[in-house]
Amino acid sequence: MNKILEVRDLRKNYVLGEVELQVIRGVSFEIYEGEFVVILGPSGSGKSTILNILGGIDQMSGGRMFFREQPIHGANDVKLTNYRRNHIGFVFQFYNLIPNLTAKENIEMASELSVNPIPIDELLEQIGLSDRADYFPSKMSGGQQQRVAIARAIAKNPDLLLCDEPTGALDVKTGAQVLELLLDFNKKYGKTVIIITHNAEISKIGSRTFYIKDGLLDKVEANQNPLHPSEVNW
Amino acid sequence: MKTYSIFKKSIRSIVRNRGSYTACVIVLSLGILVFISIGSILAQVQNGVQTYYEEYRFGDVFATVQGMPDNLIKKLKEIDGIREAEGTLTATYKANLGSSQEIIKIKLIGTEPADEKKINQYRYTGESLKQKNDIWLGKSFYDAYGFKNGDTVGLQINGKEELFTIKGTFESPEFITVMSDEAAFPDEKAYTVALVQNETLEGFTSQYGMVNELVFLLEEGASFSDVEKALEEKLSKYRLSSLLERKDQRSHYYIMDEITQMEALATILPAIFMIVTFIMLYIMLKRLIEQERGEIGTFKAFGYKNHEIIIGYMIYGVAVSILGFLLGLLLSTPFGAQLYGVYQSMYSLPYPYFTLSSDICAGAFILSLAVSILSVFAGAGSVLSIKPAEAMRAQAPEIKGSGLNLNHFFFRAVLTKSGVMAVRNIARNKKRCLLIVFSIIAAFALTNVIYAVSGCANDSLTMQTQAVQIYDIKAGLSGFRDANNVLNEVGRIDGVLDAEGMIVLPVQMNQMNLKEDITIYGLERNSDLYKIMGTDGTYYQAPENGIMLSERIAKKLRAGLNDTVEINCPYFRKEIKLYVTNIIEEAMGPGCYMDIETLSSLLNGKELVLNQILIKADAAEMGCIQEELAGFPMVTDIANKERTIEGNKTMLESFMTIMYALLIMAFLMGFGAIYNVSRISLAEKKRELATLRILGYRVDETAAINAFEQWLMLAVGIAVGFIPSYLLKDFIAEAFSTDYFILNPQISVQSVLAAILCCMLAVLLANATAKREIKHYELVEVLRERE
Repeated sequence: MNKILEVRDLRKNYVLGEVELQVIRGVSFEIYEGEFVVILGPSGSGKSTILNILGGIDQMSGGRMFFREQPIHGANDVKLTNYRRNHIGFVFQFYNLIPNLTAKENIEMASELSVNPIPIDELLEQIGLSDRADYFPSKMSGGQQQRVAIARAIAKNPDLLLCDEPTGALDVKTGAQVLELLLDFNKKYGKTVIIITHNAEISKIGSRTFYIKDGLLDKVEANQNPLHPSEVNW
Repeated sequence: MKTYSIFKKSIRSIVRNRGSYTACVIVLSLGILVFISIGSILAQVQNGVQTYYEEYRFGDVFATVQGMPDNLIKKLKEIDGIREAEGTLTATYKANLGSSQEIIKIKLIGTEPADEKKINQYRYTGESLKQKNDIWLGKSFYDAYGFKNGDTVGLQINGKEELFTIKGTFESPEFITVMSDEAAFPDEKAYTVALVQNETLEGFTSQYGMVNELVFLLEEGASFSDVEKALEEKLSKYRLSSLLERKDQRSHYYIMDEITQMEALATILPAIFMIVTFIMLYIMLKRLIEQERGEIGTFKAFGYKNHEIIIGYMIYGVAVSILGFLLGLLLSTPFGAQLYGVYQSMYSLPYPYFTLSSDICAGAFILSLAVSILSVFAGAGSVLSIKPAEAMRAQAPEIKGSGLNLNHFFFRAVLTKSGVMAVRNIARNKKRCLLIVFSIIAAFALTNVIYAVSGCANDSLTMQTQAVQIYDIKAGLSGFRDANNVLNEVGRIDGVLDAEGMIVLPVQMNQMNLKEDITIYGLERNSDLYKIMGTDGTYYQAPENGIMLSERIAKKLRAGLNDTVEINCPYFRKEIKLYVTNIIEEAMGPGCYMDIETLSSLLNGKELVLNQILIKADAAEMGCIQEELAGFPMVTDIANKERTIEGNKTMLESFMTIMYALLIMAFLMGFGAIYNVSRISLAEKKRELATLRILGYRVDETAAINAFEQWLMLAVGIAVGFIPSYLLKDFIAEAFSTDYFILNPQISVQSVLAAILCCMLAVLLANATAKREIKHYELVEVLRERE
């Protein structure tokens, strides 16, 4: 398998007044094409920071990062925007849908950026919201909103889908439906998916789990028999 | 004090949102600036004129006769309603000043050495008039020529030069505006009034013991109509040429007209700025309350009462009003001084320097405080209804009117995603957007009309000298002269290409029971040198029979087409009745025209006469022609076009300075309003826009989404702004038009383009600021913020 991401000695410091806080203290790993990776760690461990840096929305303080062997470290804002535009899909914990656009329009908004988008109607069908295509986010449940957010993230057919606590605001049943969608995207289109979560149960669906603790990669576990989301209970 | 923490919170919030508050402060300060500066000038002029009139006992009724024995004046006091009566002897002579090509005139007024005038008293500086040829000059004339006491000035009297020694200057409430009868605007270098000993003037005029100008003070409660008939009867045998009440006295009429114009400016402009400030503050505070819902809930949960929280928010309004007031006050002095300078150059007021009126300043402060506090109550009133428990939770999403259906083919074809977002955002915030559109309308209408007014004043004056007054030189004659003789004589001067006669005749016109003192111009029917032109550019011929009136005069006399008007003039042998043959809309001019032959026959009955000569001259010979004309004993004044244009230019420069200042203010107001909208809109959409950036939208693309809403509201504001533009234009035109000058601004392609450009520039600047902010979004930080 080809490496899609390679991270070497990743560091992130925050300066708070006179104190310099080391949030990520030298993390190295590789992620391969088509993998479904779960980054697991308690609150404040630095997992969200890692995801943000992988997605090009935050700058690293030290270390190197390569996307398909192309350096991302040191990239300027324009280069990072192009990186996100052409290769990355984001799913947020609180959906971040545009309230003034319908479900379909929210998805269109992302697909317009891509040269090779996934057809919107196909996506709506896939997330089971064809009949709610013209609904505004304010008229949808949390689960429905998150499904739209996932459809929006994958609409532009990204190489890498980054999900920040995608089930954090959802109940178990709805959470499982959301994970199923992410897994479908991974399987059907062969795309890489990275999820961060503090819920250890969710790691059972991934092919590998990265354990983050105090800003360090504690361990990496390969999962030989990933479970189907419907089998996970938390 | 319990509210102390809330105050601290409010002050920090102001510092955090300083850009938006600065915009509010600037717009408010502009309103305060206009209010204070124009208001102070208005108060200064109004009170000054009033005090001046009272202290120096300005007359109530004014009469001009050919000559009346001064010992008969006391008999006039016997008329019921008359308290005081006085008469003076006056005569106008050419002064030997300036170049030999121009005629400067001085109207001499006779005064006794120990004159104790009871009416129209003099305010003078310098020594008293002891010698026969001592003279006091009008102050503006004295200043314009830079005279010093002891200098001499020569006057051409009875064919020889009489030298007068300048002893000082004088002013009088009768001469706040010093203008000759022929002039349209004051020209302090061309004409003045002067005081000499009465005995001296009697000697020059050979009118011993006579007076030709009378002035009366009325008993308390008496009016002009109570004494008019009796005065007419008593004075008619002395060839009464004019009998005016105070409101029609030339100087008073002009200053009152100016006051009316200032009142209009001092009302409409601050009102617009104040309304826009109110809107801006209201929108900001409304948004702030939505943002600080949780904090308000916390304060309430701790036991703070509604009024304590509202008082905390009051600091936003108070801070804006104090800063806006101080900035406005600071700018008022230089702006007011500049503006006052314009008035000072036109009017001889006894107060040479601009002073801020403490009453107006206090009024401005109260106004700014009222506007700010009202906007706090309107914007922050919703604090009262917030329940602590509800406030701790995120606000429930708006269900009603959650979005327009824009799935129609038309919308899908026309609107981009950013367009859809903008339209829905506007639909969801209708009230706020309406207020924003109102601000844009105000900015558009104001810039549009100010531009139109500036252009129109320039165009009217240019048109007047290019298309109406075609002549190069105009010479006034002493009395009516035989037209053929005069024109033959003038035609012989080298360089005169064409010469025409004209009659300028001040008359009193009556229609039903309405009276107006106006000037009739008698012109050749096919005059090549003075054209009668309507505001639409149509040329008219002087009517063969009857009289042509301007709309404004016809309106004043309530005269319609084919109505009969009565004309009284001491030069007519009897009262004349004429039909109104045309009513035209003209930009500048006397507003009353007749055929010179018809008018001549009414005056004389036999040969054609004239009292003005219009000359088209060879440019190279202009100087020589004027010099030759000045040598004619019958010529009393000479006006050349170049000087008129120069005078117009000077007047326009002052006017344009004010217009440009107002244009800048209108632009700043528009920018302030649009900038604030952009800031608020940006703050509301921060999370959405950051999400788009994360999805891969570039800074330009994201900024364009934010900008679309403003462009859309701008388009709506401009489209709707045409209606108030026309209303404002009509208001300004009505307020600024006089009998001689009709301000007729036209909303033109240029004025609209200028206004659109100003508004677009404001949007572009606001969007550039927004783009910079979007570029510097800390995406991670924005994502951390919960709605």
